Amino acid sequence: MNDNSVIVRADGWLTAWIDNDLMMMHAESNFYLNLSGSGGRIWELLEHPCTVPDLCNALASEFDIQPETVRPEVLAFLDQLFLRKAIDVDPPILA
Amino acid sequence: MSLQFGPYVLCGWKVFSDMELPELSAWSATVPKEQTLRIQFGALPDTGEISHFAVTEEEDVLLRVPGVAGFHLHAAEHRVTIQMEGSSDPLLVRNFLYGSVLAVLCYKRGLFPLHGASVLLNGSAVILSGPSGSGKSTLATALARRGHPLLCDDVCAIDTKVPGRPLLWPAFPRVKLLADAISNFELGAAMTYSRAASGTKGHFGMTAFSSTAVVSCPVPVAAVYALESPSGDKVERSLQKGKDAFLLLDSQAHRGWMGRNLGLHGQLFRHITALASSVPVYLLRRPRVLERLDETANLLETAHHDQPVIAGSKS
Repeated sequence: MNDNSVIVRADGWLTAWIDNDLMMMHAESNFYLNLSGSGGRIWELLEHPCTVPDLCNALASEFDIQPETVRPEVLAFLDQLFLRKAIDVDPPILA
Repeated sequence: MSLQFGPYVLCGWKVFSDMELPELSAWSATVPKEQTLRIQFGALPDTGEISHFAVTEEEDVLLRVPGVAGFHLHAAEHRVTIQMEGSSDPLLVRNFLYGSVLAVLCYKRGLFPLHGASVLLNGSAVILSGPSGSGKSTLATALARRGHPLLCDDVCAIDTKVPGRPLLWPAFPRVKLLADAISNFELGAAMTYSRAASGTKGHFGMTAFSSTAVVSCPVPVAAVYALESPSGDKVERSLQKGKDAFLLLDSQAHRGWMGRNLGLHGQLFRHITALASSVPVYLLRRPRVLERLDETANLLETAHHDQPVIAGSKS
């Protein structure tokens, strides 16, 4: 995943907020995910296709920190979402 | 086909039946909707050896309890066919009718069957949920004996269609108790017992609470209490939030695996998230000894005294 990668939500996920947790379920696999705090916010930002810089800049603005500070966590989080097939990346990440 | 018994009311459905269903209340014109359900004796389709649970191509559901009965839930009609097996205990047959069969009926009709008992406290349904043996029915009995109407035992049929305002459709005001609770409450002649010998696994009793009002109309849900197995010394409740509330409710979806086998994963998810985001879900801890049951009943009465239900509120 690099700064030019366009990240979109994968199809087939049902989501609902319960308090500060975003519960997610894949309609076909019945796999559950729980995103809390900034993870849920990242999912909200992914309502529209984003790049990594887009996400870092948005979160940095909301939390009043530098984008470079939040970048490692954002990348790690996106990796987890990708592993769980919650997001698609264009161009595709080669195995 | 006689359907000689009824009409009864069960979760808002008007029930006509070939077998007597003494646990159910008589149908009342005050029930706000009228969907019928017919329960009749008959033969199950000859599909070879019927496993415990099967879904046919026509999306009918076949349930079989060996030695008791087979149940055929017809997808295209509001009908359940029961094939008794041998000299089945009618109370045992009804036990499965009000449990697994009722759960599948709920799934098919867009209701969420939460495993639990419920009583009416201050105009709202307080649900006591938890695994078998956790004491739901015992606690519900304690509250019913204090005059709080019993709404259901085993399956709580919850309608989550109205955002922020889940409703419980009452089943019937009878509770199923095991041996130690029966002797504790000294219910005597009020009990109806299964044929299994006392002390064996299949032995249970059912009792009605006809001294309290029968509630047939849907009731707003005030809270869900997840009962842990009794332990410790304190009676206390702790509010569960977010994924903890979700997971508690998910674990108590009655026969959730059947709902998923019916392809209703999405419906289940929507039910659970709607309920968890609308009403408080508490973990309820209390001592094991039955002698302290009143303390738990006191906590619930106090917590739900003069507490109006506000749509979407969680405190």
